[in-house]
Amino acid sequence: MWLGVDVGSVSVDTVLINDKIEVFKSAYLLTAGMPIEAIKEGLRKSRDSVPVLGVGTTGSGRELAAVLTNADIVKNEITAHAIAAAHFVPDVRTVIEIGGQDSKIIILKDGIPVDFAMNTVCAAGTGSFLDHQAQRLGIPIEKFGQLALQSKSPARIAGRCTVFAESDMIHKQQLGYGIEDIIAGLCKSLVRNYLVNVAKGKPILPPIVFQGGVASNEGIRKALEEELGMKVFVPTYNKLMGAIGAAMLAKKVMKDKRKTSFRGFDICDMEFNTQSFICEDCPNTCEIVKISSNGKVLATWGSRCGKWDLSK
Amino acid sequence: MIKVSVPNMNVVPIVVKPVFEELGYEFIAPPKMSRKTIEEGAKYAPEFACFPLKAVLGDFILASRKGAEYLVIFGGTGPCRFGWYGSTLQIILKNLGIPAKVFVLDFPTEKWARDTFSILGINGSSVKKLIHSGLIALKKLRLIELAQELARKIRPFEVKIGESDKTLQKIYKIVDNENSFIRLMKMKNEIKLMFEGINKNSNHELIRIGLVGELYMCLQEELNMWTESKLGKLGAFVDRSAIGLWKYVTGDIGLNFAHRRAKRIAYPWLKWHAGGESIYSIGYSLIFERKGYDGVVHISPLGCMPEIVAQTIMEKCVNIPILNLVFDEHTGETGVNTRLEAFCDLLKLRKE
Ligand code: SF4
Ligand code: SF4
Repeated sequence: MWLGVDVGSVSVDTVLINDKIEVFKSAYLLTAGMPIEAIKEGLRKSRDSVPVLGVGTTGSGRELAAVLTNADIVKNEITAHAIAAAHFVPDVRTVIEIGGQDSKIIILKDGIPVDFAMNTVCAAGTGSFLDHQAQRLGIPIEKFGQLALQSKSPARIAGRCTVFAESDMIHKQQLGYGIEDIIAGLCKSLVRNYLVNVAKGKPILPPIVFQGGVASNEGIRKALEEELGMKVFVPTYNKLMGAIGAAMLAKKVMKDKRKTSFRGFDICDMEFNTQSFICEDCPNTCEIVKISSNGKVLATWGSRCGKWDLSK
Repeated sequence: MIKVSVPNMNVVPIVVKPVFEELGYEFIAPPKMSRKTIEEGAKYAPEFACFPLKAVLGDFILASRKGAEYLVIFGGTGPCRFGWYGSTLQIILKNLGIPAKVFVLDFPTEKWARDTFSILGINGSSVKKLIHSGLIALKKLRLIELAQELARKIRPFEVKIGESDKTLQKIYKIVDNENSFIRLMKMKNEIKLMFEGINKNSNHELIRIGLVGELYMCLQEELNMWTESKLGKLGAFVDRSAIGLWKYVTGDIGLNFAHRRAKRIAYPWLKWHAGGESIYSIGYSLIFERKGYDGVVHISPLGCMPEIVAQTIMEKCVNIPILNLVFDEHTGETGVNTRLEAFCDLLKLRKE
């Protein structure tokens, strides 16, 4: 079994896959600002007695996850997502990934990524845009997709930006648009934002794989298909693709390595302490983070000059 | 003695120091660029100014706090916003109540540029001594550029990651403190030996990446978040032949053969120099493609019109993968790392 851990800004996903890349166990948890706890909880849920042969971590918190698990490989989320998508849809040309705080597009050819883009600054093309509006409307985000599908004439919601979208949405409500039309409009707006901000000018060719947390939302999927004029394929494990990719990468590196460095599932019960402080030794004022367990420092990061790095 | 300072731009302070000292100034090096520099600059510059202006302003503010009275930048008259740097900086400093005076250096083909030189006193100083200090400056620049070139070659093969960077920092110090021309002449071998002493493992495949983009952003590693060094550590040989201080100076007066060639190659796509490095970004990317390189990394500051022009054209005419990195004071390092890593993965996978 291979273990994959994807630590994003919003969620932590863990999977255990077998030789045939079938998902054996998995967990999807919200980080809620406590990534260490979430990682431990995720591992607890995918814990199993079968031996783990390798561990891969990915996502913006990949370094943290790598320290906790003592991973065999640490990879960026673009490579991980691309590899997983190309496994499930071997001739995939475009991967559209919309997550909670970030989104990306990956262009592939013959199963190999050839171009990519990701957003990090603007929230308008990400899941948090929807979460925010759902909260405003007082409708649980899970119902969003269903409601959007009922709309016959989606409201046109202007919005290159969440702030403008919000005021326009209020305006449309006051004009008497039905809630489903407004929600469908929001979905369209998110898709347009994504296409303008992230996919900007990239050639979107079929087959298209749509993954990430937001892909579960049927309203968005429909809006995306309409906007592109093409069918998109949402894989069964759309939320877990990053973690699956990481596990696949672990499987790949373990070919030339004999034994995994995995710390074992016991880490679920270990205590990890993080300590952060600001180094004042030069005007860079780096924020240094130290992770330790049982009084032993496992890793430090954040220093620009390398002064606080542990020697390996 | 009047105190004079220049902005941080890679090793410019080290290089120009002997010349200013020869002219009878006290040279104040700006503090090494840090988060503080960028914060100060971004605080007082107009929000939509291009990023280099903010960084230079930060340097000037910090240098004037150290007592600098004359602040000198290389400049000129455009064609992009660069032509306004001198006057913009002067106005901002004045509004802040900083009495320092900003000087813009350019080739003395125009009257205003000649006037600058005469105020700075270049006309009055002994020509012989000036030439001597000029040669020292030049030698320092050449030595440092050699060291940087060696570092680029060795980084992908380092056994102990980061060793080339440490060696480089050491060399900067040595070169800065050495003012004898004779000894500088002999230093070349010493530098080569220092790099040869680094442990290398040579059994992995190399990817080759050409670096292009706006000069200042490419050279100022604190602003581009050490892109060059990080790419090296990810196993890529970075070709920076498109950008360099020596090249900039000689290229500007049409004396650099490689630059002229790049211009010629870019000609079908861009006929005029649109400012920044635009024409070279295009020309060199095409050269890198012809050389069979694996990819191009294009660095530009947010708000830079010339490089956006270049980027759009490059998308059309360059057929190897291009990674566009845009930096400003809000750019997060994590995002940059992810992109660099993913880009190198992509190039490696393509090779397999
Ligand atoms: S860690 Fe290094 S770069 Fe960061 S503030 Fe301390 S001395 Fe400066
Ligand atoms: S090249 Fe770009 S960043 Fe530099 S001055 Fe011109 S517009 Fe600004």
